[in-house]
Amino acid sequence: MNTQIEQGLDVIGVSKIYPSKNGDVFALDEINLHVKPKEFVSLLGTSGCGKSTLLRIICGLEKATQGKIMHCGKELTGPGADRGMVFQAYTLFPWMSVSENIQFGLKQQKINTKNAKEIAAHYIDLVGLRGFEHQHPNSLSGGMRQRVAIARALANNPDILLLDEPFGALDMQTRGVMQELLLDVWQKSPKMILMVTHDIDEAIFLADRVALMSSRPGKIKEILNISLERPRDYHVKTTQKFMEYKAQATELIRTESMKLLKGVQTGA
Amino acid sequence: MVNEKVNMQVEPMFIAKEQTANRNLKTERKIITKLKDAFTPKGRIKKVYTILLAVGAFLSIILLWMFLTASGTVDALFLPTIENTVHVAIDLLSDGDFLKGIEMTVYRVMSGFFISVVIAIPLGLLIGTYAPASALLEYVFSFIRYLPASAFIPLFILWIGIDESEKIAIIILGSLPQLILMIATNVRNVPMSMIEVSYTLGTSKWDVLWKVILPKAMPDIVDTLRTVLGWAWTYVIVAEMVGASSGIGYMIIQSQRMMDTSRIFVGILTIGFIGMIIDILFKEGHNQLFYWNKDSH
Repeated sequence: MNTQIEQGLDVIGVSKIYPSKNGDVFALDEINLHVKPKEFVSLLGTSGCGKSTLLRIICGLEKATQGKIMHCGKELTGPGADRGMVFQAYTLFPWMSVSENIQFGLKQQKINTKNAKEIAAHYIDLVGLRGFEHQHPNSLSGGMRQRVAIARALANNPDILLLDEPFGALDMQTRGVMQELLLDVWQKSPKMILMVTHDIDEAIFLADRVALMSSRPGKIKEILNISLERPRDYHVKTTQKFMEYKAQATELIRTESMKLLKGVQTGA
Repeated sequence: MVNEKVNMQVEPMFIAKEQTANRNLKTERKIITKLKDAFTPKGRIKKVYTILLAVGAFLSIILLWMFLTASGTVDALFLPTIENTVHVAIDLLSDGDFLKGIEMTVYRVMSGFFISVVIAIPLGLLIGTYAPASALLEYVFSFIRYLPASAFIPLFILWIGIDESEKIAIIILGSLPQLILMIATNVRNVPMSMIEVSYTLGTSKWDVLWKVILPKAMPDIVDTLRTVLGWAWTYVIVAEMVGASSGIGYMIIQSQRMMDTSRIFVGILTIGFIGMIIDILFKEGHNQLFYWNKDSH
């Protein structure tokens, strides 16, 4: 077979239908997407467009009604350590220290304590949390917690990192800092990242490609190739090119939002 | 400004008085704001005030008690005087029988409760986690929960006899179904996202039970244990009032036959004190063990 095609992640004809009293709801309709290894792709759309559902299907937390997810030629079924995930909600284990949280996945894979500690220390440095390793999550700020969550997912060395609005609960300033930190981490240990967001700036700033999703039924409407130079920092956000991408994405997202609003009006 | 100066020259004494009055008004306002703060929903007060208020509550009960007995409002047969009660308490405590009785009661409660906990934690965990386990067991235990444990005493005496196992069985019947259902609820409160994230870290569906769900639910489970242990105490006393030859409950029912109200009071107060100490120990232990569970953000 052609090895070229088998590299990376393939979403093939994935549909998700929720049966309801008023007929079937098409959360996702025939989604096709190919993501290259070490590529950063943002899934951008209004709330309710099924972008999180798609991410959860890729993660294996939900089953597709139709279609399949292939990774390097193998079909993926169910969640596994090869796909790390960071949620919007704080999901650190509160009874464990920062370091223990990061070691959790490593211990599941029977990596010995000494190695696990070293790996954890490396990722603690990477997300800038040295000095906090023995703290418990309850004493950390929201931004710090999400840094630990990213470090915990990365320490497992997954092939794919899935991010479901990981900065959604953070304030604007912290969010900006976290985006730059994520880019820095990704540059230092590159891997495939799929990130769901409804923040247009965030999607463009981070990604190689932005998949714009439409809602009801959830479809990929367009894919923007973001050819902004790397490494990027916050200055990129004020460049002409960035603005053009933003204008393009905003136009598409706005049409979707309007559609949804009208849907609500006629529905009511 | 000008007026004030003139006033001050004319009547300095009057100004001074006014100032103290102002100061009083200020402290008054301060107290009012402090009180308002203290009565904010979920507000906090200083530890000193907590202790003062708690001790104050006990003192008022004692004062009311003293008033009722000293004024002769209530006959000594119904309500013994404090002096008398304290006297009887000292007598009872220096006599080994009562201490032995307390020991028996504590032993019964603790063994019945311990057996219940050992069974209830795994069962509650299963019911709270797995839908088939919930379907199979939850309704059964909801039914058993409403059967009054004390009504089973005659039946248990018939089945088991009047030895220790009968009393322990009553405690188990009373506390086990409650524990199971409450622990199942504690387990259900573990956020789904925490379970899902552990799958993505390579945890198996079986391991997630012990490594994520149980430790996350543990603070709530320990709170449940504290509540149900309080109920277990009421069952043991009832069990001891029927067909027992030792224990605090037995002492109380014996005292009733002799119309000795002071002894009944000592029995009841002893239960109260033991319960309060257990409660404080549980709370302290909870704070020490689960310090990570309080969110400071």
